[in-house]
Amino acid sequence: MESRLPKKKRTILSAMLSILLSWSIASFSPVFSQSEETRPKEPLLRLLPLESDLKGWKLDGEPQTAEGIGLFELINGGAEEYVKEGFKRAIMATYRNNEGKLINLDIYEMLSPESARSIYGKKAGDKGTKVSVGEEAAIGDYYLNFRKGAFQVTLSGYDTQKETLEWLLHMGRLVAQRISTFP
Amino acid sequence: MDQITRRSFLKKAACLGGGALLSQTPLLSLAQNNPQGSPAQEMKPDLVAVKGKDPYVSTLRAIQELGGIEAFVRRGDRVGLLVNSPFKNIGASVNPDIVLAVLKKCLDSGAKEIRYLKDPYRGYGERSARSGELATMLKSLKYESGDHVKVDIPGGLALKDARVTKDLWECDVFINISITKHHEGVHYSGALKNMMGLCPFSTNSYFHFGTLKLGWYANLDHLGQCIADLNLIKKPDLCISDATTFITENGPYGPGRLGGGETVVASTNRVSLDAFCCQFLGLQPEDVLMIRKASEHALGEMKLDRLKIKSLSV
Repeated sequence: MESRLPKKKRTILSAMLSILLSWSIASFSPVFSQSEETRPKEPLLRLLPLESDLKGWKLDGEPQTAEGIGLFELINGGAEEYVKEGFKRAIMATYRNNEGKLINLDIYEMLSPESARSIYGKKAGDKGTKVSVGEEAAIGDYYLNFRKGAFQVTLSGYDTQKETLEWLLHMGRLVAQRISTFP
Repeated sequence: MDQITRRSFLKKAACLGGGALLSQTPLLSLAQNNPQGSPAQEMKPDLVAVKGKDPYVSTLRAIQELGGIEAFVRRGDRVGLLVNSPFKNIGASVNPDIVLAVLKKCLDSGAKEIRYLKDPYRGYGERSARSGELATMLKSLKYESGDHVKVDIPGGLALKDARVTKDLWECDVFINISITKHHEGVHYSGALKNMMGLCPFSTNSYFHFGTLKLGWYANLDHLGQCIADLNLIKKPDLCISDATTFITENGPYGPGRLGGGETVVASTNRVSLDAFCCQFLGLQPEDVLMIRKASEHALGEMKLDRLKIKSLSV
């Protein structure tokens, strides 16, 4: 990047930068520094609530997924905290109802329940109202954060109506149930 | 680059009295209680803040107050829109009504082509209640080509070159549409920060890791300088910031607690725009490193009492 430097030095700097970036991510994220489980990964798609359990709500487009450093491509600087705390993979989906209302669902699988607890603390903090979803949950004006096992989950709507918040809770509980049976 | 010329200095000096008076008024009352004069009858403001319930209407009015879209877009022009809209959470991306208003004015003005310089998230335009009514207009919008070119930045202090979307160099008019919001690293995100949307991940990684310090936000001085340096590559013709509803925490992605200025702010200068808008997050311009550094590059005026600010309600 630094064109003040001779080309050879810039190449070296560029290579060092790549190594540093990988090293940095690796040092934040045990996904690279710990041995991966040998069993095949269960698709996170299985955690999404079924449309048959969501009266009038359907998936709006294909869910997006990310693993490791790929999270930066999806949520940009928002990925920093997740990667720091030990991020494994994520799935993000949007549901739309018959009236055109939308609810976003982001499911983050962390490397351990401790990682999930830590990122939950950062995302939800002591804000919002405590609610019963998963192991710990808080609902704000238009969004819900909860954690269960190694998962941290965020649901968000686009208004503060009671009905929207009820759907956030309902969807959240469905996801929590599915996490319980996730291998 | 925005050089301060003698003419612009005199113009700003002439406006200083009014600007100073306005600057002492609390921000929100500024956006509520100002007179609504015709721009033709008075000197054009440096910055306009329009408060209203409908961002679409506020945007149309803001453009009008800066001299109308014809001051920026001529028949046959190719327009590039840099819209901060990669995130789906409310208050994390520009309200699509603001983009639709700009799009409508550009088409009315006879623009030949209007292109996103950074693609929004999937289904972005459709999230506006007006998307049905303005569907044809939305379909006319072109998406980014995905090609990037290397650009030298001779005046850059930390960033000497960058890879930037080639679409930027193919448009006649460049419009920067940002959202005023919280940002975990640089505390405030607006027009200056929005320029990172022009660059691929590899360039933006340098902003974060270029000094070889570990951590995405480990060297904020370098990051702020890189953002200021990147802004040297091309001056936007028009800058608009969405301060209607925005996240005040968990930025840039959200969700988080929302702030609501119900205001659309427009200016031809991004430093002044950011200097004004950061106040919606309780910050002063000098608190925001990239604003200070961009000002040091003479990219624009960050001292609000030197600007002619017009605030009104619709």
